[in-house]
Amino acid sequence: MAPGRRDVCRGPGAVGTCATAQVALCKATAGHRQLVLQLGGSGDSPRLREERCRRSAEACELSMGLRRVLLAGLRQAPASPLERQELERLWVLFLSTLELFLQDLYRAQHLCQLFSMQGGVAPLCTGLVCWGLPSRRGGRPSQPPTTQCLEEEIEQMRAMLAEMESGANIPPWTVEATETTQPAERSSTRERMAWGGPCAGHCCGVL
Amino acid sequence: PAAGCLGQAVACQARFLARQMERMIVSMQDPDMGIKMRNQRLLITVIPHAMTGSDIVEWLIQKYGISEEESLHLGNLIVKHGYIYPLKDPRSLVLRADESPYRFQTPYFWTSTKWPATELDYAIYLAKKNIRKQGDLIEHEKDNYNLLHKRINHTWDFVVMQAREQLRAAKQRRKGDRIVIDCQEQAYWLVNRPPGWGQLLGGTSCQAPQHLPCAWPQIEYCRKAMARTRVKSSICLEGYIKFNEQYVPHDPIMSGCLPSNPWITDDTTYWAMNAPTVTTPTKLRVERWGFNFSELINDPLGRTQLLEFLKKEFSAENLSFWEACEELRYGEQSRIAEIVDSIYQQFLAPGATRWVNIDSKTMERTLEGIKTPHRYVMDDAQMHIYMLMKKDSYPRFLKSDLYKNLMAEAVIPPETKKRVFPFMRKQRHSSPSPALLLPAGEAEERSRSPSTAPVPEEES
Repeated sequence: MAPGRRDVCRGPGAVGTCATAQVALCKATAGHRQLVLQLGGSGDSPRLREERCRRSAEACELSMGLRRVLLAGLRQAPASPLERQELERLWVLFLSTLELFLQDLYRAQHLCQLFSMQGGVAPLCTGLVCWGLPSRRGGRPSQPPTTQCLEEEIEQMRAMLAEMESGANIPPWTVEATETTQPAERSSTRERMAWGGPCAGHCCGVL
Repeated sequence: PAAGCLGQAVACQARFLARQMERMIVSMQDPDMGIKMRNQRLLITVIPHAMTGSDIVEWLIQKYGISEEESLHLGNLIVKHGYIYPLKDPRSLVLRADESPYRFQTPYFWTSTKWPATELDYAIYLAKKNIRKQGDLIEHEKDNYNLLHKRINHTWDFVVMQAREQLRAAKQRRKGDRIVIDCQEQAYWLVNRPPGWGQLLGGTSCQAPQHLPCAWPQIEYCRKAMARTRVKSSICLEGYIKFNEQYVPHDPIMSGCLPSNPWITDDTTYWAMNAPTVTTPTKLRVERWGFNFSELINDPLGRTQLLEFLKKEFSAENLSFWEACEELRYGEQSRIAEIVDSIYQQFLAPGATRWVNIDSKTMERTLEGIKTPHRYVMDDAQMHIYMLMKKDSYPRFLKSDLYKNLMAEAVIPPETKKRVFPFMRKQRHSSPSPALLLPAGEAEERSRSPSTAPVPEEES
């Protein structure tokens, strides 16, 4: 790792950087999901698939960046036990994000193959308005198949997820949620819980 | 492991069914031969691609040439599995053959998509609903929310974050699309997490929800599995060890066979002495008759001896009846009616010459069954007589003089003396290939085949 990067991680903004990146990643995966939802339906089109490809590439990049920063933060001696806790919490959230994203990638691959633009099954009439160009049949000629970038991404994400799950020694039960939304409540409350559990001071064997 | 395999088979079946339904759905889309699409009007918004229940039913009737009843049944299956969802009264997953509107579900939410709904997914959906409706969820959704909040608490922050982002992403769409996507998602979760799912997870009540399509065969299978009688593995193992200890001296491979192993010495005496019917049985064989009743009755020689014994006790008709039932079970299909009648006349009719003593309930059932005779119609009666012989006659047989004499007179064949000079052993040769015995040109082949030492088996 470049020395410059290391400085960034050591700074007080490490947690902040990760938190921001996590939100950005959530945004990207949510947007990606919105598009995958429409594959095979009346909203499907080459333009939609292009857009989906763009979003998933963005999400992949964000994932790799976030992973780098998180790992760097966790590898070093933490500035404070609270910071270590935060990083671990973010780590668990990141894992979930990856899981969800990977699931959507698999579905996208399956649906793109099933409803292939090159003479597969015609999309269903689901009630949505077609994204972009009105006529898909007379539309553009053969696009570079989106499945290629999909397969690579799937493999990349899958490998990352596997590596993270087996690499970092952060048991999920050591992390507690800060959100305490209950069904009865009118609005979500944010309470930072001071958490001094067994994790503080225990040696995490991170790669 | 067996359970795992069966579970997999059940899952395979579910996927196969799903694929068939998908094909059906796709053919419904056909622009020429598909179902008529209408517009759905909601105040100011117009959403395309709606169909009436009656149109769906009609289409199924036309396409597959089936009755209305069958078509309704089929349509209901499709709705219950979530391929089509109702627009009015979404929680009632039924197909109504009237003006009720329906729409196709987007393939992303097809239940056959090989990845079942995850807790994370469901949690995000509930969180979204919770945020939008500000806590006003339906009863079972509230319960599920709390359940999941506990189960995946470590990642709850992600759940809420993702819920918020998904809500934001949806806001960017036009109103009609937003409504459709909401309906699609709601329909998906009504199919995959119906009321009662939480209980399954919580484990308080074992009532399987009747309308949980994908899991239904697996639930049935698990229910049946739980009802099976179970034996402690320690008892199983004990039984297995006992069986082995008892039978090891009788196993020709484990304990050798007397006079010698025919495969090694080419001497078939061993087989001859243990043939189904011999004058004098071997000692090991007679011993085996004492192990359990099935050893005795399934050995032709043993059965003959049993018959002799039963004659002395004036209960030989039991064995004859049992044998007649065996003939029915394993005999020719064309003779079934004849055999059943013969059994009835000889053993069951009032005043029959060899009347067997069966309890009244079994007799009633059997007599009823005889009216439509089939291979297994005597099973109950046969089992009753079998158990009678086993519990009553068999122990007396083992204590009888007849059996004791058999044991005394049984032979132990002497072991063949091992030859000192190996080359004095019989010449070994392979039997000629059956291909050489083909009728065309057989004479020619015969003259050519080697005829050295005499061959043990007969050439046909």
